[in-house]
Amino acid sequence: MLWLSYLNAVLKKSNVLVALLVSSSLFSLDSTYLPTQEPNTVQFRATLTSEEVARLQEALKDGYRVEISFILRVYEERTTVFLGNTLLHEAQYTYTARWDPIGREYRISTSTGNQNHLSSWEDFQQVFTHSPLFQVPSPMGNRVYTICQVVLKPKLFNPPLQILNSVGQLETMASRWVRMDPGP
Amino acid sequence: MRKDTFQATFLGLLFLYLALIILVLLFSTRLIPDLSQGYTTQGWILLILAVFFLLFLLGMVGLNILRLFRDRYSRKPGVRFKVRLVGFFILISAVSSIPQGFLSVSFLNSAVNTIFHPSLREALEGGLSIAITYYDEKIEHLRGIGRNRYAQQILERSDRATAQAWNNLRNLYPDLSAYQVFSAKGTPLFFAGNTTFSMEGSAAVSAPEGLLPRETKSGGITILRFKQVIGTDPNRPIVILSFSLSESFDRHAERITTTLHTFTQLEQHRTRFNATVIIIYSFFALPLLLLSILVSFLLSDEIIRPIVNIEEATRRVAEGDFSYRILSRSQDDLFHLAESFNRMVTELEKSRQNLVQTEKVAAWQEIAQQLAHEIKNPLTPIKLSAERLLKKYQEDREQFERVLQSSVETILKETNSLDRLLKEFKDFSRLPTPVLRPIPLKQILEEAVQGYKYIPRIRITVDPIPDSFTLMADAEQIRQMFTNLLTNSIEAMPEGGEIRIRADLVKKGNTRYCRILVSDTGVGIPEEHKNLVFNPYFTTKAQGTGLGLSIVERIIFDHKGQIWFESEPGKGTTFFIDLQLESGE
Repeated sequence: MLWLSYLNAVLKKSNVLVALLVSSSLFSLDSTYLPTQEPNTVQFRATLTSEEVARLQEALKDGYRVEISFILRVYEERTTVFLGNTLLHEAQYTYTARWDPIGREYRISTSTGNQNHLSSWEDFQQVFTHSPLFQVPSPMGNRVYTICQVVLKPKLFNPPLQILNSVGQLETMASRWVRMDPGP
Repeated sequence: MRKDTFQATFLGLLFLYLALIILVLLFSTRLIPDLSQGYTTQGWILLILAVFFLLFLLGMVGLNILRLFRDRYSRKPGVRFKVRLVGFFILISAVSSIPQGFLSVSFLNSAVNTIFHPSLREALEGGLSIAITYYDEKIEHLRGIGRNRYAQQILERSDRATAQAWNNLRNLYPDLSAYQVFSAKGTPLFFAGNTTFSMEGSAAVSAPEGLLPRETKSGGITILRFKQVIGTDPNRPIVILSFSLSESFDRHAERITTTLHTFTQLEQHRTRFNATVIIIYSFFALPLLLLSILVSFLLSDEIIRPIVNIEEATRRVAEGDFSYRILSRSQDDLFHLAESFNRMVTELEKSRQNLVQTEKVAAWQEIAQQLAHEIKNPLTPIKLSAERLLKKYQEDREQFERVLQSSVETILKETNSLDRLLKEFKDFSRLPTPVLRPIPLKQILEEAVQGYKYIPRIRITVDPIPDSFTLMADAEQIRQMFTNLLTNSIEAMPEGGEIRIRADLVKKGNTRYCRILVSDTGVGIPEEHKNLVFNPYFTTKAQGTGLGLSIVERIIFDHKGQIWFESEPGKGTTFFIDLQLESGE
């Protein structure tokens, strides 16, 4: 139904729903596009402050899992006022990281099922804050643009502590939707 | 009809109760696991459902409490009894549910304490320590390959005698699972051992020399690898040795680690965790309490219904309605009481009718005596005048003419008085049955007051009468009632004064009445006359017949109203009249 797709598009574009749900932690992160070598690919990364990095490290050492999601949407602009832009493509990758006290290494599991073992904090940060390469529809027309967002959950409880999430103990930080127009 | 409503409400509550049981079952089997394991979709739906249910029941209870307050404010029959009953029911519910709540919360806390006992933490820490030791030994064992001269000699020959090298290595490291030789470009040259442990050539080329990161295969096999480059030639071959950790080592180690971390997290968030469990528990426990309160409202209604019926019947009978009877079924609890009440009212009505009849006869006897007395009074001067005339006519003709005029005047005066007396008696005795029609009080009062407005030294003040005051009455009789009252008041103020009239709304039970006050500043009624004021032919005035206020009382009685008065000699009298308003039924 047209009105549903319109509502969906408006909500996705304007972050109304996110603003209502997680207004306190909204836009506390920054996300930046990175240059890529391969055509029709997009990559971006989350920029964390030194306090956020310290919190992340402490949470991992305390045994919490940490989750970061990279969300990419591809839109085509419409000339009409009310129908909103057309969502062409949407992709999301999620990394879940934890500290492995046996191997003394950081483990990052991706939503695609891969696992990374990283022994140094710097290597971990490098992988954890960078999105994978997103494939975008080819070719990108003049009126096609992408927006990206990073959502970080810096402290995921283990079961049965996850019940705390039901009463709002789950902390979520999100970046603004950052737009990138197609290059020349 | 009322029984149907009761049944429908009861079925509704039963439905809510069953829904609650289903919710509680879902709570115990699905919600807690869903929420605690993070399968949040169903958990959220259940939680939202529980909150909605709770709010709905809260609304219902609130509505009933408001209704109870409204009934209490309007003093509805039986409301105080209902309040007490509901209070007792709530008390009983609370008495049983509060300890249950404490018990459940205490049980939950005990369960958590039992599950997360410090000894379990010690065991887990011990397990983790063993795992770390085992793992470290394994790593050290692999690192030892680089330092083991014999192993190095075997590996140095890996480009020539691979099969021999495999056998020698197996003898040296019995836990060796696979032995792979690749060219410098990653082309497989030799493989021996379990194929599950094989490594891709490209991965082997790109990996750093020495110990490689451990790899966990699907199926729970954890592999540790050691890479060595043989010789110094640029095209030197690459050797990969793969070892397996104990079966499911990674999975078990992760479980130990996760559980240990859960302990840590629970210690950090113990208070919040307990509070959350209690909050979620209350989403399901509170509706049970609310449901029992709703049932208490329903049951109290059912219990007080017969008592309310009896109270209503008593009130109606007290107001003079002897036709009212209580309808009761033989299986009702208060059937015998209702039957006895109905019999009593029947007997009371018969007695009242007999009393009325007796009083009627007595009243007529009294009236006959009063009438005879009143007729006899003028008859004496008539008789004396006639005798005097006859005597003068017979004995002294000269004086006859002189006496004639005064005697005839006396006779005429007394016969006129008799005529007036008989006319008023006729009016009183033949007062017709009132023809009831809606009449605006304001209008009828203005018409009645109109004729008395210009009497010297008499001031009549009528306070504003609401237009909504409409009586169901006979207009002529009400007008006559006001005329008699005004005449009575004016005659009580020979030196002049003020008459004040006002009307107020009063409620008796559910019936609306108009209370009319007629006050004067006259001589008042002496204490000894107060009981006689409404008696026929009682008067203290020289020209009065004593029927004015009797007629007023009769009219009000015929209109099912009430009249009484307050009087203070020397200050004045106020008559109070209650008449039913049209919409008062």
